[in-house]
Amino acid sequence: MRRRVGRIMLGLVVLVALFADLVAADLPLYCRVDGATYVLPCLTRPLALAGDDQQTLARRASALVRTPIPYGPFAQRPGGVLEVFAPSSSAHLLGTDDRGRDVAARLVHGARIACLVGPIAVLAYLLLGLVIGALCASSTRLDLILGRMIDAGLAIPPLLLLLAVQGLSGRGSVLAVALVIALAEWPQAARLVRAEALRVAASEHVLAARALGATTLRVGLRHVLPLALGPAVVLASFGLGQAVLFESALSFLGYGLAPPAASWGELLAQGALHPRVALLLGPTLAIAWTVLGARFLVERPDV
Amino acid sequence: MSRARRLALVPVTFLAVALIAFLLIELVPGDPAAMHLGAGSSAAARVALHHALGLQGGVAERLVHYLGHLARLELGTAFSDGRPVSAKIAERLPVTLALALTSLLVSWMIALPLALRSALRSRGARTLEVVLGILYATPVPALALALLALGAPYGASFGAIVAAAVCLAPLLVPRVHAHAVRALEESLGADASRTLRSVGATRGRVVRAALRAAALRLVTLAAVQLPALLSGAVLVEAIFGLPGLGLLAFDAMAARDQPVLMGLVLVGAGISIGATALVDVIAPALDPRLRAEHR
Repeated sequence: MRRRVGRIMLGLVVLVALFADLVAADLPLYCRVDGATYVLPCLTRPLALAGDDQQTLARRASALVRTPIPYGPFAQRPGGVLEVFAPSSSAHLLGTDDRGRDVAARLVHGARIACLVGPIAVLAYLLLGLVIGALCASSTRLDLILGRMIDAGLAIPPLLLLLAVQGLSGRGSVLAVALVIALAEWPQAARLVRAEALRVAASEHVLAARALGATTLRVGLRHVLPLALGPAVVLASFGLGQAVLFESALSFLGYGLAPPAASWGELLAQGALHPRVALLLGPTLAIAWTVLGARFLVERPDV
Repeated sequence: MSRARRLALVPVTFLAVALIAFLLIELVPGDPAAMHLGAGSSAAARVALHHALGLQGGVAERLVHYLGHLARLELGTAFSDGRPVSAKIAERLPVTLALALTSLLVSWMIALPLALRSALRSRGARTLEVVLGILYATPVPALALALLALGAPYGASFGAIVAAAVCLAPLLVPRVHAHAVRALEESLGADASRTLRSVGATRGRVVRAALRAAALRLVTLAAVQLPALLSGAVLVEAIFGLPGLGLLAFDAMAARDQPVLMGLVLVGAGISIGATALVDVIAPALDPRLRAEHR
């Protein structure tokens, strides 16, 4: 039940991310302009419509099907008039931000960043944790060194590490931010894999495989690792939410993705500068929804 | 691993933290000296700053220079105002420690009674879990801004520390709750509790004994949570204007102040390693069973 709710919650976020261009875009879903017909110009972006948006097209087109939110995430002058921090109205459901961009449109496109940063970060640190954890479990001598590295990594406050790296390397792309998050989180995965691999390595089926003459590599890959992955995978589904929280914290502090990326944390920071319920509520709910969904995926959250 | 062995490994873990920090400096692209001096700086000025930062020579030379300074507890001088990083951190430390301890206190005062309730009767445990999950999922800045909007104090004051601590509590409460419930369920189900009950002890007395048996696990958890707490401090200190380590990190980022940022990573890790070691030292006082083992 719980897990199904989590899956549905995260599924919705993924759907919004996938269809963001159909929900909020500069160009309409369908239009007929100057005798030419365009189907889904919001995706195909025909050259003839470059420089147009749904507001100018509304005047020129003979037929027009708008997207639900008729603005793109980067459109700085929706409607042709620069309206900064406009309150919510029928034109802008959640108002506009500091550059006159539509908040609702940016919120929808923010789902894309959440859906990219989370999985990339989790995949990266899971892989790193897996390799290091497995190396620890395979040899006591390596464990003495790498085990200390895991302890040290666990002791470093993750956000301080993120800030240090981001502060020195500057704002980055989605990939860069995801990798930095992975850099802060790998010790958790490594610790779990290491502990579980050591436990599995002591079990009887491993002894049996050894007795049958399996090589160390085969025992490790076929008999230990598949079983040792369990807790790390649990951590991973939980880590999806964690990564979204980290990204939003970084963007909130102003050191996340390079502008003009539409991230939920960046919207939250705007809400902090100009406290308005509409500006704050959107990103807060979006972040909470995603993190909660990821948390529900785990049967017994332990973090 | 035995406690004595873990304590003996503390310096090694410190060394590992130092190595990780060094790797970070090496791996982060760009030259901190060039970044600090700006694009129009002269090559001579850069070389001078390289020498001051220990960035000259090969990797091995740089590592020796770095570890040598660290061994003398020198964290370098800040780019922004030229003061020693250690002094800057020392003057900010009390605020962050006060914040960390207050938020531990707040979250324990919330989590422990809830855990007791969940351990004694399972009704409503699911609902509670969901409520705690929602609180955990709410981004810290949103909570902090909501508190500020409700009139929470801003700036260096005790009120602001308490308000910031309340914002961090949702990060800690779910985990403390989950661990406390498990620890209490175990100790309440143990033979000792059954014996206590069978000799006619009151329910309060049984619960007190169970809490005492669970104490070490909970204190250990508090030490493990310190890194997360210091991370959260960056956000709430920036929002509430508390002059602690978090705000220092935030300001250092704006100035691209490499020595301060690296110093903060080292000190932050040092605090959490120190706390874990402290728990290992006081463990026998918390749990008489450990004293018996060593006799």
